[in-house]
Amino acid sequence: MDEKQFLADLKAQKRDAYAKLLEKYGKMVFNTCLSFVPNAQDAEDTAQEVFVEVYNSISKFKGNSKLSTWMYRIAVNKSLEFIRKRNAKKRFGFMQSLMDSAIPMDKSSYFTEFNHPGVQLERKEQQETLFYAINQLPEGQKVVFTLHKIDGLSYKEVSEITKKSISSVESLLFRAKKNLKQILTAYYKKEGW
Amino acid sequence: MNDKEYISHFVDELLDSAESIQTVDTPPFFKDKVLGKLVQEKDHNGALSYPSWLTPKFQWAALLIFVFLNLGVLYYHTNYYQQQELQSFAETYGFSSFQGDSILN
Repeated sequence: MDEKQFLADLKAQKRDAYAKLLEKYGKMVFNTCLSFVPNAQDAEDTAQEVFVEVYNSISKFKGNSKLSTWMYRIAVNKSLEFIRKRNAKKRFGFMQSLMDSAIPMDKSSYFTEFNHPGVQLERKEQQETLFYAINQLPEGQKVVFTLHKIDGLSYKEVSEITKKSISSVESLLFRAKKNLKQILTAYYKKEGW
Repeated sequence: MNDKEYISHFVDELLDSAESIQTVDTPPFFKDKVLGKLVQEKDHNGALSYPSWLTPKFQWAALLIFVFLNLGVLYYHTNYYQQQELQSFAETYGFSSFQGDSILN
């Protein structure tokens, strides 16, 4: 089946076309969501939302970029949306805990629960700290670092997804690494290393 | 190696280890769950669907016409009743010129 026919079938909302789309891009979308939201259940929910968004917005897809690039964009946006909502909930919970004089938020309560099936067990604690630090980065840096370092995409692919030039991507990645070093160094010093 | 160097080295290693995170397969029944959700979405969209010609522009135009028509009718209605009320007042108190011309008076 050629790409044009496949797109036409997706726009016609044919079940077979979506089954094929899921076979082709399901893993990619799930792993991208997992890179941003390191909890298998939350990432699965987010990935499902990505496909629902694709289903509802496919009529707006003009084919200016590759379908995979467009889907990466949706996956990134949905994941960031999830993180924003979760952080807002945490902030609200934190405010409530202050009112009730409960224990303030720390790293352990920051994620819903760190549960990334792609992380080796012996590295779980370290990687959890890394994800905690990534979450402190500004959105632009967070997206570039996650797509390049965790998802393993090239600069060109990241630049296409984020609609930024390659030099901007390089610059964002440089700043992300610098900020992560500062955050992690401060964290380990605080931990008494 | 002092503490500062040790932390710096450890942090560098940690940042590099981000590349070692492995890709995983989708959870069981992921495809079926998504396809089920899409069917639900189709039903939901079908229930909410409206004709394609009913664009937001058309809706605004229809709303404006409705408002102007109502204002026009209200204006006409108010004027008509005002005149009638005036006439009936004049007739009650004998100010009406119509009453004066009557052969009964």
